[in-house]
Amino acid sequence: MTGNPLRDEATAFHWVLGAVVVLAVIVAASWISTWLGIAVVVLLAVVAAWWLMSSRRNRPKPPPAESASVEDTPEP
Amino acid sequence: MSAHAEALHGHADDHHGPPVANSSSRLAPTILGMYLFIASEAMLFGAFFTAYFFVRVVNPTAPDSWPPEPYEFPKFVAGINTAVLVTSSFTMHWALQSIKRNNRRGLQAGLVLTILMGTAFLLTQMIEYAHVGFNTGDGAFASVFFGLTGLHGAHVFVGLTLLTIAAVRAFRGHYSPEHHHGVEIPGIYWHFVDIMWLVVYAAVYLL
Repeated sequence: MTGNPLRDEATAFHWVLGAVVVLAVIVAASWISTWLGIAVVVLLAVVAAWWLMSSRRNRPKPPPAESASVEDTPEP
Repeated sequence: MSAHAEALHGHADDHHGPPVANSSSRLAPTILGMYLFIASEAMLFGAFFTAYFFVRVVNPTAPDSWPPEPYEFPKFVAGINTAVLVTSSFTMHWALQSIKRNNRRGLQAGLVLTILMGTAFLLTQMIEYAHVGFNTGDGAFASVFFGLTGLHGAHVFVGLTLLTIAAVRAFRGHYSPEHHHGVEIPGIYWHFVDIMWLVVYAAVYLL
């Protein structure tokens, strides 16, 4: 369940599998206790937010684009 | 005619057709369109879920049990329907993997199976509506039930239309390992519809 699901079908398919697992865990916890279900939802939301932020932090930065004005300026 | 006017005139003669659309260099127009579409879909489903949670939780006269007595949701039939829809995501994935490996038969079979399972899902939902024992006028819970499941059913219908177009093109010999965008986009949409159903099924039927 990594990557942008709007980019390609394979990633979207992995999101389907991830959604099955996540919702199964939430439903199972809710059947045991309503408050446990809510706790699992909150926990999963925190984990998802943490994962999203860490994946953004670890993403390699693109090289800085050179500005057109510098490129077009003729050498004196 | 001045040099400036000549330059303008000459430039106009070189260009045929409508002017080139201005687009951001940071985001492709197709990706931006998909983002806006998914955002609008999220807001649409979000509005329906808001109504659902209001009726079930926030409403001071919310029923103690869900659905209110003496009604019952057909959890088992809907569970089978869920399994059918999740399986159709597998066949959709198989179809696209097949064309990437230049297996045209696999693409055709995968698309036909996906369409058949999607149709089975819709027909089962129609039968469920006929036998569920309540109608839209039987209370707010019935309205949100038919609203949420019906909204999703409409999305399944749109997905089936897209898949049918892709299947017809596949049988006509379109698509190749390099060019299969016409299958990829309906595939992404189909998986989105599948995920939305999982959320609807868990929220409305199971919780």
